[in-house]
Amino acid sequence: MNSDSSICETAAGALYSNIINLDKVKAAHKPLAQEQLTCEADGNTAAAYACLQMWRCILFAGFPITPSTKWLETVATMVASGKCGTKKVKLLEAEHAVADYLAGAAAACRDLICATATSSVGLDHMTECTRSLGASGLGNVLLINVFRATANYPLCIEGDPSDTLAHRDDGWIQICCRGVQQIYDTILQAPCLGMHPEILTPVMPGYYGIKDSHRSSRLVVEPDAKVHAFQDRWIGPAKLPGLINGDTAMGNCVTSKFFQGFKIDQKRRMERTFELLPQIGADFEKTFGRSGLQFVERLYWPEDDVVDLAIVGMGPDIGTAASLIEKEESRRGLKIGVLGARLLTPFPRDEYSKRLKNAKAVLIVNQAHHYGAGHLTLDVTEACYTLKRRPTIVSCFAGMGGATLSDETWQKMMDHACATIGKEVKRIPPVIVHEGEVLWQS
Amino acid sequence: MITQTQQRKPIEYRNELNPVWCTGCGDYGVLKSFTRAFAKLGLPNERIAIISGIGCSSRLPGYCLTYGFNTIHGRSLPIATGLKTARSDLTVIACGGDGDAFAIGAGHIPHAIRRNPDITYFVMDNSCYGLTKGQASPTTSHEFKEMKGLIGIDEVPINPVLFVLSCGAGFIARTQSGNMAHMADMLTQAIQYPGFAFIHCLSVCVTYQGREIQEVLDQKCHPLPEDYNPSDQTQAFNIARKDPWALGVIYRRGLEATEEEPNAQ
Ligand SMILES: Cc1ncc(C[n+]2csc(CCOP(=O)(O)OP(=O)(O)O)c2C)c(N)n1
Ligand code: SF4
Repeated sequence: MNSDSSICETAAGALYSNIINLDKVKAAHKPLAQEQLTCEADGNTAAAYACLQMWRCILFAGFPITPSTKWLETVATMVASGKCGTKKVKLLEAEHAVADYLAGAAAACRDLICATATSSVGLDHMTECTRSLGASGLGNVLLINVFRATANYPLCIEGDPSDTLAHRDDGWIQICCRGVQQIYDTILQAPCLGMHPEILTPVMPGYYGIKDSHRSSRLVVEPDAKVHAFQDRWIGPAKLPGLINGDTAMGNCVTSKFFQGFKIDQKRRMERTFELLPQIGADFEKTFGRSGLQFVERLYWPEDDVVDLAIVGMGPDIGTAASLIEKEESRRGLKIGVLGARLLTPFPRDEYSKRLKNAKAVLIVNQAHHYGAGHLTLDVTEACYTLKRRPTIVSCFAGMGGATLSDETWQKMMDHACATIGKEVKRIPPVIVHEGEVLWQS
Repeated sequence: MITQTQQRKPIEYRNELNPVWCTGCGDYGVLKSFTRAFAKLGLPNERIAIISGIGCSSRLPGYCLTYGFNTIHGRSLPIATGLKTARSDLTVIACGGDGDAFAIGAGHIPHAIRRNPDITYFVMDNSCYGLTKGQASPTTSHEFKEMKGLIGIDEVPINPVLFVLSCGAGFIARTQSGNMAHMADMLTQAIQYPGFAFIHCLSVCVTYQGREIQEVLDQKCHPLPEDYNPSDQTQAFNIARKDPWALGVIYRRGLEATEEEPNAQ
């Protein structure tokens, strides 16, 4: 990093010199791909490639934890090989140190991205800092969360989104990805949201551990130059260089009188996501020819939003469900649609109410343990609350701890939901389904 | 103070589970030495609790017919201290890897030493994070990081013995995973020591360090000098600084000091 004479002025009129010469950082970037490439990659590798291709992303920190370790290994190997210019990788002593390290580095220059990947208790271990970062305005911190059941008792390393869902109030934009290509594409778009001057909120893209982190498939890697041109359209130089007291919510100690103001500001920035996410997604699609960020993925969904049964879930399993629907529709004589959740926080309730307004029943598949109806169920139910004709909400739990959702499991859940159609039902207690059997009923 | 109660066999402290460690892993020897020490002391199974963190080495309690559990990465010491406070009649042993101890768990070590509970902390130092596939830990040497191309090459390794000695631990021993009799002897003495006792066990990860490491340990390790006096803290500091291969009780504070002034240095 080199010094630069450019000067920034704070609202109070104080002058601070810019400490990092962004042109030089950009010039030092060594491209991973000069032209579009196609390769086989697993989710962690795809996530690592995306990070390495961003010229702004120059600092990586990590602490290994299954199933996210390969992201760190890939980044470290590529950087050590000298193929990635001046990027730096730091292995820290634990995740709380990683999050703190990123906070320090990100505060030093808001124009540069500091990234890590973690999972499960690793994310929990960061909590004190992630909550502060959520409020900090440091949208240049990128935390990739590879879903794995949280808590050590019992310890399970497979993909279960209870970690990410336990951190929904940390103040981060959370996006769920499905499949290797979507992981790569989402990470390229994430900083455009987080670092947008009207949002300035850190982003936590996530994907299922093992099911997506370790499963390989075809990946299209875009040329770095094209990635840069796309990102540069959304990320401008930060108004203030960072490290200015009061410039981030980090370190401010306030009375209740001011506390709420901070929270309102945080909420206001977060909610700008609703407007900007579709714009960024549309630009991505125009640039790269693949669908960009969306609130929900319409995996099997009619243009007119008219369905008898809507199925809502997330991750790779909801993709599998979509492939079963054609047969299920003719077997059941019903119109069935499938939606895959993408934006988890802030929850795009308007999008869900728009899509679900004609549904007779909504089957919501939760893959993380919850003592109530399910994380996703609560949000979707709330989104349907204002609908003139409210659909029956059917909440199921399946695939917890990363368990496989077999065709029989999907059929059982659909049976459960379809049984409510055309009936007056007040409340359907949530059920846990596995291998086509109801294991538990509330 | 532990007193021998009855003649026991090491096998009586093993449960029916077969360890999932790689063939040749240093943790096998450690497990055997644990059961030997328990047998030598004639400890009733239900009076032993082994508390570990997370890592390959931290699986050890799962193979013992005693109380114990695999806890949270780096947290065996506060959990073991809590357990000892609630059940002072138990022989409490905390154990785990070098990562568990000196990376994520390092912050707890000085405080456990300050509190000086009557527990033993057995660290299996294979100089890497075995369970997460061989990354450098705080004890990995420069040479090894360079050889394997591991990140953190510019970072100075921690010297575990010097670290705990500086924090004021009353009992410090070093042993190695290829020498079962020595490990069992060190563990026996540590358990008998009435206060916080630390054992640094040089161990082997055959998968990520290489199979030759046990031979290297066998060649380099040697006993402390015959005239070595473990109650002399200055000598202990010298050994800690200069000789990373010396095995034996490096420091043992007199009992008077333990009772009256736990952290006297
Ligand atoms: C909070 C948290 N972060 C990361 C991990 C992943 N993890 C499991 S074991 C381990 C390190 C193991 O190394 P060490 O303690 O030296 O034991 P070894 O496997 O070498 O015996 C790590 C980083 C975890 N379990 N919990
Ligand atoms: S990976 Fe290393 S530490 Fe873990 S069981 Fe295998 S040899 Fe032992």
